[in-house]
Amino acid sequence: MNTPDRPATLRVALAGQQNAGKSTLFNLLTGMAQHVANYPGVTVDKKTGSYRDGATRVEVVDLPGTYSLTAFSLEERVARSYLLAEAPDVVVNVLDASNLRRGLYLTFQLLELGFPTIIVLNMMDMAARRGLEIDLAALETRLCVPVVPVIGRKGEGAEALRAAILGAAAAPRRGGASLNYGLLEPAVAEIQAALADQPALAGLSARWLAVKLLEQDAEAERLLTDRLPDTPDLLARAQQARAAHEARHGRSAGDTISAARDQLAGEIVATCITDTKAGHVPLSERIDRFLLNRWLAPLFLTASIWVIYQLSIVQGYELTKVTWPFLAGLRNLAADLLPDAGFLYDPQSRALGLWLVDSANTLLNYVPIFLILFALIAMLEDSGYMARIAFILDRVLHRFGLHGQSTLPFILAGVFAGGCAVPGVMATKGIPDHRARMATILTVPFMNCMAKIPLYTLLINIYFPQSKGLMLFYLSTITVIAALLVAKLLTVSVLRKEETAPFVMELPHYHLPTVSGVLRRALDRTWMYIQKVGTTVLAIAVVIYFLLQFPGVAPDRQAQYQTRAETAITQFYAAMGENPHRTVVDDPARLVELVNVYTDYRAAKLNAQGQVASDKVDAKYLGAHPEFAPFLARGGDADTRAAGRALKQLADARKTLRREIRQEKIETSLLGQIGRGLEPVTQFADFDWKINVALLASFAARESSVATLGVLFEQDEGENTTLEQRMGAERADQGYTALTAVAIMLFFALYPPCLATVIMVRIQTDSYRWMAFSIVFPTILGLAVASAVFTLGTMLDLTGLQMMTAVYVTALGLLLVVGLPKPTLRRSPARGPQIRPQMEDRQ
Amino acid sequence: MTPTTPTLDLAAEAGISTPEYVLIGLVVLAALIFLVRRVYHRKSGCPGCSGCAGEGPCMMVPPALRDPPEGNR
Repeated sequence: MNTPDRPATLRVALAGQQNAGKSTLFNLLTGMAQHVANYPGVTVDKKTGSYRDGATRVEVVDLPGTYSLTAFSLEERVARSYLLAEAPDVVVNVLDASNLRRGLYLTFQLLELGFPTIIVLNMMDMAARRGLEIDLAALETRLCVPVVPVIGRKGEGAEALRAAILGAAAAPRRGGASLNYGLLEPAVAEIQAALADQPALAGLSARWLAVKLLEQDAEAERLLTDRLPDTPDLLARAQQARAAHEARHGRSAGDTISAARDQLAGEIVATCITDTKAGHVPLSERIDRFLLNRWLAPLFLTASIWVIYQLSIVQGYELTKVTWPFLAGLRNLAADLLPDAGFLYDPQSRALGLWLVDSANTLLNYVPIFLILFALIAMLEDSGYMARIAFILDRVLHRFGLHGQSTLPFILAGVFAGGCAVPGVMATKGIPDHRARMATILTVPFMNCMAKIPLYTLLINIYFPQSKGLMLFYLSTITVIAALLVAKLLTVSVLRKEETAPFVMELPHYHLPTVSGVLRRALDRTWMYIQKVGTTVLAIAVVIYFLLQFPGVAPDRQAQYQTRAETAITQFYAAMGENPHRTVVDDPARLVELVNVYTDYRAAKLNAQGQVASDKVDAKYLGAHPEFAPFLARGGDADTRAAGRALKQLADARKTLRREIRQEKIETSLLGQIGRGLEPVTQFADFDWKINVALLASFAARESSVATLGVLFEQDEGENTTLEQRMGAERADQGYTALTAVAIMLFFALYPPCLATVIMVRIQTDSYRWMAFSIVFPTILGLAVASAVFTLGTMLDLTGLQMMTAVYVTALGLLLVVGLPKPTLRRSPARGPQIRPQMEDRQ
Repeated sequence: MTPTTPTLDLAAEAGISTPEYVLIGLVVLAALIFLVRRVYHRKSGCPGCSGCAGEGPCMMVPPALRDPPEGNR
């Protein structure tokens, strides 16, 4: 039975700035293990959980992290809407004890809302380590609300917090500290009094609303208009008060309000906190003096990218030579388990099965590269340097119409290769600057997501084996250059009328990455890649298989191939004549079996390195098929040699026929016809129908480009070589050069987003028009660049590397021309080299 | 006497049997259902991240940002 002091249900909202530890407290209170994105834009949804405290069920809502309750960003809107609409019983304001001043800005606004509030000082241990002694009693006195010290990550203080929550709910309602706005106070009081008289505003804090109206908060004005549609004079009075204040004091009401909050926060910190290590420069700050130095920062960043590519993609590729035999073994196993190959055509179950294995193998071959790449990225994240990269890039981004918070989406999407555009586009939710947000959404797909890496690696290993590192560096950075240039183009053209907003950013402290943390993350992400190969890519491979198999070779052509095959078979039997070994293959089914065994045997002998391996192959095949020994074994008597020759001729004829049939089937298939149909347009970039088909397939999922190439450059029966070997050999035969590879890679870098990203663009922009734009614009741009590269390169007789260098230098020059002039005239003073791990503002 | 030449029924090999049509149809159907469901989930969002159909938290979001390191929470 519930007492009046013990309600059956309590609703508690956790509010606080980003990275104050709300998620930790949420998990601590509810016992959940929720991973909540706590970075601008990654998660803006509120999370809900509950726990029981005696007879009371306490529902806890984890609001998005915000610095304020204005309506700049979606996080702030979500948090504010919840508080106003749901009116929780208790608000728990989580503050970082080691950085109290910053958090108090939000605290004052929460107190003004008038909810029963508890201040939680989290990370007390961090504060102690930094030499901060906090007088909790004095803080309670200044804020007029309970203050609970907590060390969330150690679980210390949870019980006290639970007790405080119940206590706050049971205590009679009284307001927290009321902030004095000094020169603006008369205006606040006047409007507050007018609002308090309105019954329609019952339940809303009149003081909070008055302050918001004086801040000219659009959401607050809308709220007032909605509730009081017939009293526009209140808005007019607020407007008059703002104008009068500005005229009298020479500063806007909004500035006065901000200054009052900041001043009070400063006073509270000064009176409640003693800094016993004043003057001590933290290690993070000392490191930042070098890493964020105006001139050294770009060098460190460039060197980081270079090292990452050298270690992951160049060295990682060497590892694939070790892992490939395992994948080849997997294919052999699948080939053994599936129904036997036919003479000209394979059963569909075999063809489809091997198709899927080849698709998966082509991509699984890159697992070592991703493992190293993800481990290196995890090290960057854990160390705290990733956030510094955001800071360094912010300086550049701003010059191209982007926002500091565009950095996170770019990092997620793959500023360092290995990202994904879907979370990248989603992460734009938190960008308050609408113009920059739209530009970010439309340029994020240019980054090098992990699905682009296999194609880059494939082509670079075929065409640029001597300059892999340089080519990867070019590709990884030219995508950023392209994104910046396109962003600039968009923000001065189609997006020029969109709203802009200020930027807030936080730098974490440096940490030494732990081996277990780095390994876990690298394995997690690599596993995610493998899962995607095993699910989405295979599903797409099935669809592509269907589109490439049908309608199939025309009946009259089929008849011609059959005639040629029958001729070859007749010639085989004729050559065998009265050879005693002929009896082995009197049954036609045995002949097909013999040809299959022979084909596998030859491929195995070809792949065997050294005499020992070769002898093992002999032993394996001759042991498994002793009846075919006369056909397989070299030497022997005249009959044996004759049998071997006849079989070789038959196997060669069969191989030629199968290749021709396969080629014709694909070329005349549904997808092949589309690929052919695109050739008149793509010929200027030297893309043949196979490349077109691969690029079309990659729209569904980027990885599918390589998986599709892997099966388009199909293996002959019994062959088990990497795609690099097959594609390199075939394309060299057809006269393709490194210049074509450069055109393909640049097109792929600028290619439209994959289907999943396009959907996310639609969600984030809420517009089919922008979704269509995100497909059409990059297609035209990519094709134009690829065509120009190939055409100019051919005209000037440049090598692939020369052309790539020329493109890179041109793009870099263009970037400097577009980006340099204005900022050198108006450089922000806030962008000095000594950045503390604190909030950074740029207006 | 020269033995007769055995013949392979290549026409039968070239054709696609009914069970094979059924097999391909089922596999393609399953693949399409899987892909469409994935697209649908992406549109509707998931608990961890509204842009992804995955069950857990998105591994592509750097944990430093998704779940801030100790001392920065």
